[in-house]
Amino acid sequence: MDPGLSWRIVSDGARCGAANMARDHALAQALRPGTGIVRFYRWSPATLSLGRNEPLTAPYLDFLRLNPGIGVVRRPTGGRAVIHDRELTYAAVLPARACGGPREAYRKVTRGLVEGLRHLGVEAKAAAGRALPPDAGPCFIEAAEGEVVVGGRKLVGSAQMRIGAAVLQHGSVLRVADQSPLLAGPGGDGLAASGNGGRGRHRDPPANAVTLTELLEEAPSWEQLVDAFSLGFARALGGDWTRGTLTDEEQTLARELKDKYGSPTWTWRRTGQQSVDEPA
Amino acid sequence: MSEVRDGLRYTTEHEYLKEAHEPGVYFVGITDYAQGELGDVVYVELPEPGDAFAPMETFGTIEAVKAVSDLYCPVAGEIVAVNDALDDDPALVNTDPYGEGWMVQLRVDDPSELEMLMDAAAYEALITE
Repeated sequence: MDPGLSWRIVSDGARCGAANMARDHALAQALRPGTGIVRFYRWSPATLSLGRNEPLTAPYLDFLRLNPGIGVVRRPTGGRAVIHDRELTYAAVLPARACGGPREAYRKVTRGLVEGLRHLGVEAKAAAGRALPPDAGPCFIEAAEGEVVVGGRKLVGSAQMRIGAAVLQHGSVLRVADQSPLLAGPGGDGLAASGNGGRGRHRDPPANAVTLTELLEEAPSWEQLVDAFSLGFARALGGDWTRGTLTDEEQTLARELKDKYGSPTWTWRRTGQQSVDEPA
Repeated sequence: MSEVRDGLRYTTEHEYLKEAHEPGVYFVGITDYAQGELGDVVYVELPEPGDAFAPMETFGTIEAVKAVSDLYCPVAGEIVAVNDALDDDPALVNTDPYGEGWMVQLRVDDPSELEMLMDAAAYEALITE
């Protein structure tokens, strides 16, 4: 990594899926040479995100029908479905050449995540994993190569895209919600205790995923998470680090891109339908 | 060491053009270097025959592990065929990038534009710099 890179940390608010994807995409598209960005954010409402090339299959449609308050969005990046609910989401935007290409960027961001978790008192590592196709089921059903696991269970799910000269990598650090409704498959219970009408009932966490709450016996606060991962990324990526916000240019671009990420044509691509209620 | 084949034309985005069996038509795919950088390819999104693209316009995407990259049309032209075999076996891009792992066949609008692309020696220099 170029030691001269200037990094900006953006501790962002909670937004809908289309706004969050638009902001990540805008940061990558507008990235200036010699700089990098790490954005931390949340979701409101809780949202199901799909990988760019992932089919919207019957279990996901069942889940959305059972939980009408849950949003749905398709990411620009690869990978598979995640329920974003009371988690920490990160987006790292890196200059592709300066960080040695997309795979090296993935390794460096993973190191930042592992360092950040160490600050929280969690010993994690990168999984050996294997490559899974977009239709292999939800993201947290299995760790892919390089993803962050604790005791063999997946704590962080990440995905990446090259956008112009930048690499965008974003991912979910499971804090409270453990993805049970998705991993349970068809007939899943919904998001337990997430303010969606209490459709969920208690169940044991899925064996392949683990949350920070389970590991630390108490959910770390948002501020604790942002501080820990900011330190972790700074240590793994080097360079100069400052806190900031989106520039006017990035915000304008994000507003334009929000239309794309909120469009049914994008969300329901590869499905032959335009909404959850429309028959396939 | 990545294989760079003589007789092909290459782009800075690590795509190649290889003459097909019909004049003016070229196989387009990604290079051995590119597939090695991407890792295991799990999905390739391709256009439809008849679609036309401008130079460097995105004609599809490729997903490897969880990383998505755009595929850029090297020169202006019309898609005359796509490699449907990649639907069932996208790993052909990894195992045989210059052969069974081709992505589209492109009818090039102006074959003289190929002279603007790199030959094998220039591409070899690019990936070893």
